[in-house]
Amino acid sequence: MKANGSIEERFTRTWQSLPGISGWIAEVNNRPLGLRYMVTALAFFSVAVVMALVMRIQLAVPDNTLLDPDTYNAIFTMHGSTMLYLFAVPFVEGLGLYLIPLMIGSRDVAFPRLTAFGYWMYLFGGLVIFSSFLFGEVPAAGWTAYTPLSGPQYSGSGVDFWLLGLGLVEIAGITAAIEIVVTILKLRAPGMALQHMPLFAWTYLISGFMILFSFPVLLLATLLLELDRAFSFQFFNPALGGSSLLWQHLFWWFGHPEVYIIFLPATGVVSTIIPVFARRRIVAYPLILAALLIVGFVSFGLWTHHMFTSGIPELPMFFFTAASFMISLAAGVQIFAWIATLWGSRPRFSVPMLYILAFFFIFVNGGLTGVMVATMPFDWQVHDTTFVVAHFHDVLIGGAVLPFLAGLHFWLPKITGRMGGKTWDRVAIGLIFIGFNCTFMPLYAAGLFGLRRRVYSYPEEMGVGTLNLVSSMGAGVLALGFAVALLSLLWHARWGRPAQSDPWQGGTLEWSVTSPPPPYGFRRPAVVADRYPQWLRETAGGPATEPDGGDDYSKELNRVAAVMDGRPAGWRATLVTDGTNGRPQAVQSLPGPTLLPLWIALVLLGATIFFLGQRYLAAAAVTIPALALIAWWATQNPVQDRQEAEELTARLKLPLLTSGRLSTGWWGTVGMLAVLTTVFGALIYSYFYLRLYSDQWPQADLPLPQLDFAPLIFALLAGGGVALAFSSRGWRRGSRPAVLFGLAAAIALGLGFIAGLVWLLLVEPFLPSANAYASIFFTLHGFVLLVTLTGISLLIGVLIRVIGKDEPFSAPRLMLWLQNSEMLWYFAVAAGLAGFTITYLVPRLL
Amino acid sequence: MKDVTAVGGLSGFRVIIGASLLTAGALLAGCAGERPRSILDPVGPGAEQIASLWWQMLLVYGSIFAATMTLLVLALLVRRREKSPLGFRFVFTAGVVIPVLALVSMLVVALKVTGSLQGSSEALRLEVISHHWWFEVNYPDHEVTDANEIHIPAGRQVRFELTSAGVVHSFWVPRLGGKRDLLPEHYTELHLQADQPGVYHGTCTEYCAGTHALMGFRLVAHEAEEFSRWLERAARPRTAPDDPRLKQGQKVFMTSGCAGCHTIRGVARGRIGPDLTLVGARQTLGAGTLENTNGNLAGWIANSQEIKPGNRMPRSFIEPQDLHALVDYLRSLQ
Amino acid sequence: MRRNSVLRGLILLILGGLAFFALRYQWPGGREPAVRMTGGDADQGRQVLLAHGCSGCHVIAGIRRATGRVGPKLEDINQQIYLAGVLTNTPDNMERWIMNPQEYSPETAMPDLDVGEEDARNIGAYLYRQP
Repeated sequence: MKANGSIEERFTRTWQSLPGISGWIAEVNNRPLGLRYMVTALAFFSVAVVMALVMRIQLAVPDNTLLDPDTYNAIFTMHGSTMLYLFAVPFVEGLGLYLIPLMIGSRDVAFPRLTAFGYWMYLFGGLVIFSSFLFGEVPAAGWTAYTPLSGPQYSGSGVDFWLLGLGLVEIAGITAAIEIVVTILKLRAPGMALQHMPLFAWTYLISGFMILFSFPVLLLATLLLELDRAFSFQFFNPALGGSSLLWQHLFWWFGHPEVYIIFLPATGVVSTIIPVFARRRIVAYPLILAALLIVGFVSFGLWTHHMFTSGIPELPMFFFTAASFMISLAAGVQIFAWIATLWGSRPRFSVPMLYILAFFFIFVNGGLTGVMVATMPFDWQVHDTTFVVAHFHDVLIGGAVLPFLAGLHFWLPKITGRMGGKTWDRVAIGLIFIGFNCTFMPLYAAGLFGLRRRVYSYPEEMGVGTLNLVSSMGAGVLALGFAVALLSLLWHARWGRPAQSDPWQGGTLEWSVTSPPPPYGFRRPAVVADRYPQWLRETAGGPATEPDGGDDYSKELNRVAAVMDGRPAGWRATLVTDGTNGRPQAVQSLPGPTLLPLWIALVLLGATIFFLGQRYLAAAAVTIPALALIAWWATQNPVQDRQEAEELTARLKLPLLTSGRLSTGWWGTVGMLAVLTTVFGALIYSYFYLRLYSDQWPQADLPLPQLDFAPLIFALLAGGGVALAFSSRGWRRGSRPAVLFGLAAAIALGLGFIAGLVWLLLVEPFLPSANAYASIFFTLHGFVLLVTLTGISLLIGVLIRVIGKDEPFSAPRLMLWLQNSEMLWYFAVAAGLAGFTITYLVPRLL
Repeated sequence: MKDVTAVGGLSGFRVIIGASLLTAGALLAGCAGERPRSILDPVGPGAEQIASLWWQMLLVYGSIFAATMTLLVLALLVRRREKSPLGFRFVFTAGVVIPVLALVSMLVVALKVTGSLQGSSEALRLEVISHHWWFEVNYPDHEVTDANEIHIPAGRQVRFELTSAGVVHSFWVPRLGGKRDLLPEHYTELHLQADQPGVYHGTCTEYCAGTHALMGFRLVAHEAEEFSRWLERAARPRTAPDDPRLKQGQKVFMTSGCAGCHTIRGVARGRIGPDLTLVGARQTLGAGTLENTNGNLAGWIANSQEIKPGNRMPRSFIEPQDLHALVDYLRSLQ
Repeated sequence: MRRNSVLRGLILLILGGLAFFALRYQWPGGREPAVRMTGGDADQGRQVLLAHGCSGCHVIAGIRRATGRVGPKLEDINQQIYLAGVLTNTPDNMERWIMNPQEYSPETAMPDLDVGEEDARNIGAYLYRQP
């Protein structure tokens, strides 16, 4: 270990945040940003709790007149939307951004600038939604915004604020997911094979994948609804061939995984805390892992259980009851694994442990009432009553918020360097537990007695007045409990007892660094051979000793770790390891502080504001600088000190600049393609759904798409694909002319395709506003258009680089450009051809 | 010191569980009859099946809950040992095997209940169309149209054909059976049956903005003969009233703009608001919002916005004497 | 430990206070004068008000469901000098007005709701009560 003073200083300076306000804004390091996410999320949480209190006061007695119907409707919409979109998922993301790199032994996440961008989008999205209050146009369609209620005919512009703000927040969610998935897969500590990964990291990995396949569908749904509202598209207008149920399907395809996305990381927190306080390894790790994976997959097969009363045929719907039962099994397995871990352990009843005990009671209750609600005939009675409201608050507060509070308390020492409180937090737990049960248990009964949800008042004759009064009083106690808990956390963050690096004797890697962690996280990458590396390290004789497996593999890992100690000092970088077994593969450069993400987010916010103000051309014009900034972002090359780079490569025998599967940038593009595929898939689903429920297709005697020119135009696109294949062969063989020709041809054919496509759309005798068929026709083409344009831009970028720079094709950076642009281009071609088949051929064939 | 707190905490824990279960039981037990929308007070086979399903589920899942909590408490109380004596087998048995048995049997029960709720072809057909904050009711075989009140014969299954003229609403009579959404794009179906005559509460149960909370209806079940008589009376052609006061009321109806929105068979044809042909005999006004009395009717006509804010009926500024005549006329429409 | 019990005591006190407040709605304290004045039953009067549909036109103090704004608000009636601008405010006149409004004000919009004498007396008892 070289303890060279000047290298140490350079290393620390490289990772240090910049000072002042501009330094704060330019922050890209995961820990400050993760903390920022969490604090913002908790601020939104507090606002939403106040809204809940107001609602409960209104409902405390029958026929109450505190709030008029419209105000109440706006408040419950904002309460639900804030809690689910602006608190729950962002908090999960923030906690993950902070802890995951520490837990898996990485210095940062894979895409630091993307993290910063995501944060600004989240903040701006939330502010857009709340700005609706300033204009007196608060959305009042519920957090689910069913159509046609949320459509242009029945809702005011509040829903536009909601849709656009939500779009920004969704983008933040999706970028965070790509971030977390790639980080967990590629940036783990040397030796941390998948089976050594902490369960907390597994839950985030699975949640990350779930976000990639569910959030884009909501993004599409909100886009389609906004098209309906702003440009008179007819997706959800039954009068012109649209479908109200289509929204429900799209929404719940997102909506159900959404709650597991919130819940799984919470179980990760529980799986982390219990072993520490029981002082034991977790029991049945493989079984828990299997349960988590099952939850991840099966959660996509449950969505229709939110639509049991919508008149869909009963026997197919019953399948969703069975699937919901299956997922409850998976959740149940974890409960018993935790109980087994606790058995005879006489755990310390510290504050996090007490939160976990409260979690057990409340969450198991909620899980079981969830099984009840998932039982279709029973749901026919309790759907849209306070029974369901009580159920989902049970699982969300019990199953997510309580573990989050436990986690905040547990990791407070690590994050702030100070211990949490003991007395006030116990008071808070008591208040929360009593308050919660007093609030929601009566609502189960009230639901059974017929009390509906989303009603601003109820008549005295229903006989649920006392139940509601108890519930409202409980809400006061619950809110008080939350306030005490959060205030105590804040107070102790500032004035608590100073903490050492490992106050709880936790077994995972985050406890091996100081509290709070240094800006670089790990100076020397930890070598891991066990699920609880800290405990292994302790038994091996103190934190300074590395586990020495004795074999060559361990020695190699340790050698790499030793070289990476405090290196590179001149630029930010972290080790890239193999996704399954944790073998070191490369060193990934990471960007330092930059204002760029904020600029891009601001420009997109500007576009959103113009759109809200119905200045659509201005909104479109404003996106151009955003795209320019993104292009500039993409062309930024990592800056490496050449001397140090050569030295490091020689000693490590690992590449410092990478392409392909070794490069996080490549994986990021794969993630983006997953997102685009999901959007396209949902669009295709919508096409066939609308068709299924139409008497004739195209609807309303619109003409079939002509096959006069369309095949030729799409052939241009196919040709573009062939051209790029030619270019691809060229750069594998090192033939510069072939590459240049192929790229140029692909670009030219692509541009020709774009022109042809636009012409096709212009000559269609109908507008998108004619009916739902017309709307989806134009939208499918629009998607293909946008993706192709993006592909062309990337190809142009590559072409410019190949022409401008004189570098060999094996240069990693260039290869990465070629690979990424190829992937996107092939996707564009595939999407275009699929779109052609579906739009032009299928109506003729089927 | 810590153990004392722990044990104290656990005793407190148990006290809380006990107290909660007791309270829950007490609240649920005091339920019969006084709650007109309780699903635990069924009067139809559908609601009965589902209520019985509820009690079975409460028993099964309640036991699972109690068992799980007991295991948790035991886990915390048993004597200390180094490694957990429970491993894969325990987790698998408690977490998979036993729950699977419970869930599969409940699944079978639920499937049976679903099957028994199927409709028969002998059912009486009724059509309900939901509007913004009121329900239109049609008796297709008899050319009768009503609003916000449904009459059916007791002891016979009724098939409701449901659709919406606007947004998605939901149709629910808790004491008779489950609910079904009314969609604007196509018809959905719901089969209900009332075993005994009586008046039952129904509501819209899908959030539809505005005064969704005040969108309801009454379902009146008659003895079979009484129902036939009602239907006959409802279907008979209407003649002009003889009483000069009622004549005056009808004139007010025609000249004050009411006819622009409301239909009265043989008198006026308005398609926007509820059909008033049978309004005099209805139990409620404003879609289940108010009792149908002269006072409420006068108040509703004069200023329904204060009673049901945002509903589609504007305030009317009718002369007081005209208001009296109108109220008398409408109350005579039975 | 002592701090814990003090805290627990405080919390119980707060909860108790909330419950106390909530149940205040049912305090009958202000009804005696009205009962003595009219000889009617205020609770019965409340039921009768709802049954006859008075809430359709009047906001009535103490009945949250009564939101009607067709006629005047019925709050603090005992502070008024005249009833409907045509009768002096006495318990007997109140009864008479309720039973047959058009006799005292032929143009009034208030309909004849067929209210019996006992019902009218009870209504009076309710309207005259102090909150």
